[in-house]
Amino acid sequence: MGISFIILAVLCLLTVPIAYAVGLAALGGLIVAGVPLQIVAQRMFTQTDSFSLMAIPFFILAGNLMDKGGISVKLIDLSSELVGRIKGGLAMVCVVACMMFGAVSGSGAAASAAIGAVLFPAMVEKKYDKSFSTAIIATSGPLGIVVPPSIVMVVYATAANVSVGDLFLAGYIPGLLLGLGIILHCFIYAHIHNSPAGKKSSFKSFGLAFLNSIWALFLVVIIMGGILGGFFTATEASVVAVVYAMIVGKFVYKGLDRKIIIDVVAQSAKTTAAIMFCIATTNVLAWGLTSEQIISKMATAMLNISESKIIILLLINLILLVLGAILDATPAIILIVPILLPVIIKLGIDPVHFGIITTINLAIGMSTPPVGVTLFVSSSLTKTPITKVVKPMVPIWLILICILMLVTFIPQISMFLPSIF
Amino acid sequence: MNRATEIIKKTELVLIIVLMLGMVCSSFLQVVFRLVLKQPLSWTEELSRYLFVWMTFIGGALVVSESGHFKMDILTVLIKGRWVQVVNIIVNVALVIFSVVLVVYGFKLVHMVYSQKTPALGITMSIPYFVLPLNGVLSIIHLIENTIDDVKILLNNQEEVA
Repeated sequence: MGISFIILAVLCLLTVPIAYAVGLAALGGLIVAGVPLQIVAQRMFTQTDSFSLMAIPFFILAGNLMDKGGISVKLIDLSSELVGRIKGGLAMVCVVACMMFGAVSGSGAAASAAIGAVLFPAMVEKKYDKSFSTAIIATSGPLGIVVPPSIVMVVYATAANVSVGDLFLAGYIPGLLLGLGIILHCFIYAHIHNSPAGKKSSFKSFGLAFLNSIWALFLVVIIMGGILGGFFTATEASVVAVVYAMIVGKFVYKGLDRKIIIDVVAQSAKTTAAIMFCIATTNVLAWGLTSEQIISKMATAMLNISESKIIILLLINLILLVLGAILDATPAIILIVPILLPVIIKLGIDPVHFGIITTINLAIGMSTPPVGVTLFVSSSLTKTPITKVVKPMVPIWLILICILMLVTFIPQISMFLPSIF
Repeated sequence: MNRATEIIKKTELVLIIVLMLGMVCSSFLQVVFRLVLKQPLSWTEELSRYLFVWMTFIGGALVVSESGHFKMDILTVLIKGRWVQVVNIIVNVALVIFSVVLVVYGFKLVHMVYSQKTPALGITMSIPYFVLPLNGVLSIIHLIENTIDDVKILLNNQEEVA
């Protein structure tokens, strides 16, 4: 199976879609190992035939429905009441709105697209630098996968066999910290470049914005209350979110009609298919690597590098950051979690805590080249070339990596909430 | 050729919309029947899962036709002119190879599981599995169409150069 890595690298560089590059890499390895090739179709089927992973299409669909239904606008209004009056407020509104959007939906790209589409024109109007604005949109979107509910956490929970509820709870404080980190950057940037403050807020206008978004925020109660109260599974919560978003979008915010709903369903189905196809072929590769015991060899090799838990954890973070930069978050998890989990358990780290570490790493990877979903989404949204966006992103990445280190080495940041519920 | 492939794409699009809505209905019924009516249904989870598999692989073929699968595009920034089509054709060939494997071994699998019945719905396991070779066939059709387009562009350019 060693040959798989070479095939994978060559095909990815040739711009073969990642799902197929992974599949062909697995195929090459299996042929060399002399395994009957039915296993390819077999593993792809069993990986997709999963009720837990069905939370992926439902959270994507719910997120898109909420966006088109008008929920994102209400959340932006509420965010601008909260932080708008501060110097550089509009940039911070973007961060807060992305966090709120993340709290009602499960995907990062949707957050960047939904919030960015509304806020970017406003930021340009207020004379914010285009590259800076794009950078803020691209780095805020991934907060959506750290703030629960999160598609990436659902996939991790399946791969590592941990409770989705615990993982969701563990994500709140780290998600908040990351958001505050980007807000801090906006604050400093605003003072250097003398960016304007947004509109003033009054108790009355705040109350109004809160009432307007109460329908959206109530979804958090349904999803988290439902999962933590043991009423339903994450997948069931996600389908309830879909139905709720449809009803609220159609009858309360009135942004949805039949044509829009059909469009959104088709778009969400295609996004899901692309993600699931990646996961399916990755499962073939992961199976090949496990059956050849390459995974356990890699784990042993990693533990042999150093006696120190700190060094191994730093190394793992580095691997995840690189992996997050070249792969999409969901296939990255399917591929790497089986390899890293035995190492993590040997080191005495809670798999839930490790889930948060993994999610943050991959969230950072979402906004980095070469394969950063939110980077692509924001740069095409704002028509700013990626090469121009990278420079203003560097300080934000540094802040995010500092927070990642805090979360890695202080388990209580993640584990506090799951321990009290 | 063009008309036929348009019909195939349209059918795929309608199918994935129906499958997605089917998943939503079936899973939502599951919640309603268990929590509200206190009478859990036995078949909803299985039905949703198989609709999910079908949506993934029918959708996967449609995404192939739109060249929409996630990829690393460092190379596309570096290359120009007719190299774009040359790389596209190489990529298409790679995708065809994988799709052929899905067709051949997918059909073998469909054949092997014919006598197995699914636990809740009691249908043959061949039905959920059938979408794997189907994905292969549909993807190959789309890939041939895309490759023909690339070859056309390539030939036109060559005439201009000559």
